[in-house]
Amino acid sequence: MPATAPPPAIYRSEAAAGAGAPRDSRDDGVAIPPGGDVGSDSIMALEGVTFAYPDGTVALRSLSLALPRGGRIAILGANGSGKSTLFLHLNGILRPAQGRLLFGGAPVRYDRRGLNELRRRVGLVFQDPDSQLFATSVRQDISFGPLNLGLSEEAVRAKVEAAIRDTQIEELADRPTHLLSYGQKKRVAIAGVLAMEPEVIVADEPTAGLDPEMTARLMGLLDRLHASGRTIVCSTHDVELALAWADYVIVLRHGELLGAGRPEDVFCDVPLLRQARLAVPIVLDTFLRLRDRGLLGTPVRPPRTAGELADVIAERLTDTSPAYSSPLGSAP
Amino acid sequence: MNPFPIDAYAYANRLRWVHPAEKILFALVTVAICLVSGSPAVCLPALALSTLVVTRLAGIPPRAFWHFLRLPFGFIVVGVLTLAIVGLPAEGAGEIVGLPVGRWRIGVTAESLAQAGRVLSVSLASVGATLFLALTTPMVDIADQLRRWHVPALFVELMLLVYRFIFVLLETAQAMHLAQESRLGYTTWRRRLRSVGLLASNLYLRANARATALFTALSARGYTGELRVLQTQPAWSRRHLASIALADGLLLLLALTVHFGGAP
Repeated sequence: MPATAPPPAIYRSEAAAGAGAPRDSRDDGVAIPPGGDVGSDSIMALEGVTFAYPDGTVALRSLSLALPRGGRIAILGANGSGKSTLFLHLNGILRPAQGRLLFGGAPVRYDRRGLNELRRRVGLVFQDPDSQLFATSVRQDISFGPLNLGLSEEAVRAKVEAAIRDTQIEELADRPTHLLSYGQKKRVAIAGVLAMEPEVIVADEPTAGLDPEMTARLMGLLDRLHASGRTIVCSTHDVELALAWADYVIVLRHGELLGAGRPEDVFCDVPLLRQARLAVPIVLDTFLRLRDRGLLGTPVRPPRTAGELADVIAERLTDTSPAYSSPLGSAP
Repeated sequence: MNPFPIDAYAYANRLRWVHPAEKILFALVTVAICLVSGSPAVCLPALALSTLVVTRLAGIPPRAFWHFLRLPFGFIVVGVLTLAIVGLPAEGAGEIVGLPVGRWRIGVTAESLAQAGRVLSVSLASVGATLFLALTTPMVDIADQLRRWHVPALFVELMLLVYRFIFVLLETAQAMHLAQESRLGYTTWRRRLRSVGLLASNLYLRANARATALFTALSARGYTGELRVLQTQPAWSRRHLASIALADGLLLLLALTVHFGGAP
């Protein structure tokens, strides 16, 4: 593959053209242009990566995609769409059979030094915390990663304490790992990754199996880590969560890229979601139905949360424009 | 919540933050004195000492201590019975009790009884001192101390991994057992046997899958063959060391008196 590879496959759809009126970048998130073209400002990229497991299952098929630097990235896809395989590539556990992985624009080298470098910069949080936590004490487990970086004991100690503080698990630090609840184990697993101070944190279904409150706390934690300048990548089946949280969405199917872009663009593309065997978020579903009935008048940008949807509706209800005075008759 | 009460006490007792080496020292020296002396006159006070330390200093309820002592106690009693009951020569050997069994006679002699008493007291005292360590010191602390004593890393790592995954596999086994029971897997003796077999073989497969997942996860955090973690840095206490020296010193003195003084 030439050094100046074409930008990764980009999601474009009519929904984006119809609904994606240029809007400001979302709060503190990165500015994703309407087409979803991350272009050169990607922290990591895959170029034509193909990977098959020894049993012959092809998990990734010439997959090209880019992860925007500093983004909140959600990766969606049905079971078996290649999400986990992709994640293991991002950390160098698996190596592409074809194609290549770029970090900061440079191809990843798979020698010992290159791998150590990649694993320091990309932290992987596994779905099952029990497969990640090996040590008997919380503090010791967190110290494992930084010790592998060859740092001095004082430096490791400082990093461990910082990770404990940042993930707010002070009250768990002296507990044995096997006495923690599932949600607590998840936070400890994140602390163990955070202690290596990665630039990218990749979490495989971080909210699976958590109750709503724990989900909110965990996403809050990921948001804080994002606010400190890290790129956060999550896989999830929860389309509502992805719509509300992410500023960039990647949809996979059968190990191929089906679409990528801003969540409100991707999630308005009903045929694409159907192909990916994903549900349309209820917020957007309601929005699209209202829009299709002409109740929303002039093009409005799609809402991302129930609150935003309520705002859109409230705005129309208090609107005295002609579009509202006879809503049923004046579809735009 | 904790399926192993011993483990729960180890993390929540009043001696939890005492230097592990002090506790290991006390347990080992006490066991050594008992083993070498082999006399009930030394071992029974040693058992009393352990019991006192566990219940008074560590604050573990006496009932709980007895509960943990009971199981090894049962094994020891069964083992000791075979020492107490011996085959007797036909003409008799001054036995206390004798019983003809076919062509032979078995019974209890004063000598065999003393022998059984010795083994019983040595075993109980050793178990008591070991229980003291198990009930007051979490595995992590013991392993850390072994590392500080330069026990080979491979041994300590293996010990900790086994310990950690006891709990993971136990949870898996409990979940599988529940799933089997809810589908009538344990209603008859035959089904019970079959279910246990299935559970065991499945658990083995799960353990393998676990090991693979663990290796992947460790690699992701830069594992290159050594499980290094930060060590705790506990502080020695002179007061504790002095107390241990005093208690075990008295025990040793007792052992020497018994040995050279000709008492039983």
